[in-house]
Amino acid sequence: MLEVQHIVKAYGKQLAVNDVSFTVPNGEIAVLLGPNGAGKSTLIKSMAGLLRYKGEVLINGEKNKTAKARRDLGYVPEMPAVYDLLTVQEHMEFIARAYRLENWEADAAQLLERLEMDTKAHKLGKELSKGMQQKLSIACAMLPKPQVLVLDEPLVGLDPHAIKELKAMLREWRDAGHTLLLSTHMIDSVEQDWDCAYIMMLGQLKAVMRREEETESDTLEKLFFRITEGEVAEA
Amino acid sequence: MKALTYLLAHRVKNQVLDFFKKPLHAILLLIVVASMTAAVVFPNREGIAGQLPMRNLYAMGYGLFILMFCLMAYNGLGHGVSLFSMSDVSLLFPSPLSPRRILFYGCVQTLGRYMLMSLMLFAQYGWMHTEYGVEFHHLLFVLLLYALTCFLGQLTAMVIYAWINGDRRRRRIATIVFFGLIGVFAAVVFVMALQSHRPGLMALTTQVNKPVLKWFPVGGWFGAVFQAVMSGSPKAALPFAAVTLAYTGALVFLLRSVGSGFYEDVLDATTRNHQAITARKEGRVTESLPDHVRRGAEGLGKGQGASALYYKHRLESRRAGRLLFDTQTLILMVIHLVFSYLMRKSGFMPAFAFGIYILFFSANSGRWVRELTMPWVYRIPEGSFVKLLWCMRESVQKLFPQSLIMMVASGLMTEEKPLTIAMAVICHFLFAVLFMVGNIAGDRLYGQIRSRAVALALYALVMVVLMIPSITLLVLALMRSWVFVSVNFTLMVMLAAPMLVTIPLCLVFGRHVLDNVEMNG
Repeated sequence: MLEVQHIVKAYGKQLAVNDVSFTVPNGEIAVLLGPNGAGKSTLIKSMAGLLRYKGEVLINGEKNKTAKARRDLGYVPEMPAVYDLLTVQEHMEFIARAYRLENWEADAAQLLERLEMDTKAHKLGKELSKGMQQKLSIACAMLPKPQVLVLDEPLVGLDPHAIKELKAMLREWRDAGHTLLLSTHMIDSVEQDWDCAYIMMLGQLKAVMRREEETESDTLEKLFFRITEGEVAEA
Repeated sequence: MKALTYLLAHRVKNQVLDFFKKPLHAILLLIVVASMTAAVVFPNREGIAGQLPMRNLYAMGYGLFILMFCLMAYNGLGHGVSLFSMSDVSLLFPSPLSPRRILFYGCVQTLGRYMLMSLMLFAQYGWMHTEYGVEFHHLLFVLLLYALTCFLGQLTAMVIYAWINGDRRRRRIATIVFFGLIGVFAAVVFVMALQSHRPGLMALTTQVNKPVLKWFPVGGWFGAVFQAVMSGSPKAALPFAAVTLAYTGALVFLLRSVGSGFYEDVLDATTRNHQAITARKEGRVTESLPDHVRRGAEGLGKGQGASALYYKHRLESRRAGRLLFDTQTLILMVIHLVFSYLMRKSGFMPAFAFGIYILFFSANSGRWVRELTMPWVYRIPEGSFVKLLWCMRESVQKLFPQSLIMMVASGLMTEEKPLTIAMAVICHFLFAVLFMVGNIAGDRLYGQIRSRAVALALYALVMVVLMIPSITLLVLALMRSWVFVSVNFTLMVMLAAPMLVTIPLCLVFGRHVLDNVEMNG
């Protein structure tokens, strides 16, 4: 379970995230929606423990900066961060060693195969295209099988097959009881693959919609535009 | 207003406005301008202007211009250079504007950039005025020559790259000509210096001033122009100015003759520049790697938890072809050896002090600095302090051989006592570690400051503070005339002893640096 409680993140006088709170229970896919500059990436970086902030982030009840919480939280950054001089397979080995994983080889092989990276296992990070780097970044985050997985714009740069496969994997993880949160600014990219949606605007959480609340006349897309365009008009 | 003039004018205007939007930049600029003004208006009156032989200054001029020209032109043998930014490539190149005008625009903006870069030479005005009687208008002339050297070096690189055009045979020919030219001039100067039977530095500066080096392309011509102006005979500069004009005209003609073909020639370099700038903006530290990396044996092999970082670093260094030292460190070590040789008559201490100074540039260039710009090191579920130690281990291991080679070589050249050399190795190594941990301690203090210049200034300040105990003990030893083994040995013990305390203190102070990204900027 992922609990976000009153997160405030400021850069100087500018509030990037302003008092955001929500909870994603186990076995759910939550989407964090919002236009560019809404504060989604800052919020996710705060959850991943990369930034300093006010408030609390709990991973299965543990504060996110503890070693246990770090082990239980997987993070896919917005910009793929891979090592130029390590092969794809060595990235897997590095993560396995750093997270002290045992019998990881079969999981790594399966992940690479599903993301169509198995033929690139001996390619160096610097030799991969942006999309391949993104896939590797996803594989690295998934290898330790974290209970909570947070993905920042994971679909950007992926080819249609990889998008389809990643969505299938996320659904499988949800069905296995994992907690998933993915951010995007492209509302149509999440289609039906969500249980709860959080819409951010100007650093604040503006609306929450559960999947079962969506009707033909009141869709997530309509809600999104009502909020974002309404805010723009107000501004 | 014409499109390119409009673009250039507005880019400059916005750059200036953007600079002043950041108060720290404005303060820094104020300090730089104030120190420049002070240096110009109130030069050091204690020294006697022009007290050193002018041949030394001319030799430095030749050295600077030739070095800058060679470094710039060398890029033509590799990925080329570019006078353009990525936005120029995407917006100007496809536009109906004439390629010749675009080339001229690129030349103007590049020259402007180098003019701006040349301002750093202002800092050298004080000693140039005191030691060689260089006046302010002379300095302005040096700045102009420096900017022109860089500009012509870049233009030369573009022509070389365009001529090679991906052809291996042409690349080989260009490489042979480039290094052959440098080799011939260097050999002539070196042989003449050996034949003169004078002490090293004096023989070298004397030969550099002889006519032969004046004919080295661009760098030599500008050295000759500088010498002519400084010696009060500007007419002697005219032939070299004429050659420069003809050379520039020929380069521009060659580039213009390929029409829009130069677009392709600058594309690779522009893309690389853009990637480097983007990486810098994103806080990533890029590493220059060979085009074809030899993989060798695959796998980390060892490491669990935080120690996986160390074995990963070892693997990366092997792949990068840097088992012991990176290129920058190697260059600095060679410079130190040359310095030690030239200064061998002055004893061991100048070489030792220069060795410490070099650490300012090399101690923080290790793989651990790059690691801090990646998210993984923060995400690994281990304690911050343990991760930090494993992260630094590979770099620390490389510092000891560096200290050993530098200090033993300079010690032997200056015929220093073995015990003092051994102490110098320890002292130099401790300084290297102090420079590293000082960086970490500093990050905890000013990690959130985003301006590189300010962060560097604060780092220098932190290092000064960390060295206060050593300096205090050193002064005390000098005042009390303490001597164990030898004076040099005693001084090094005084410098080294406090570092055994300050280094662990810095580490403890910075132990949470890997708690989150913001701890180290």
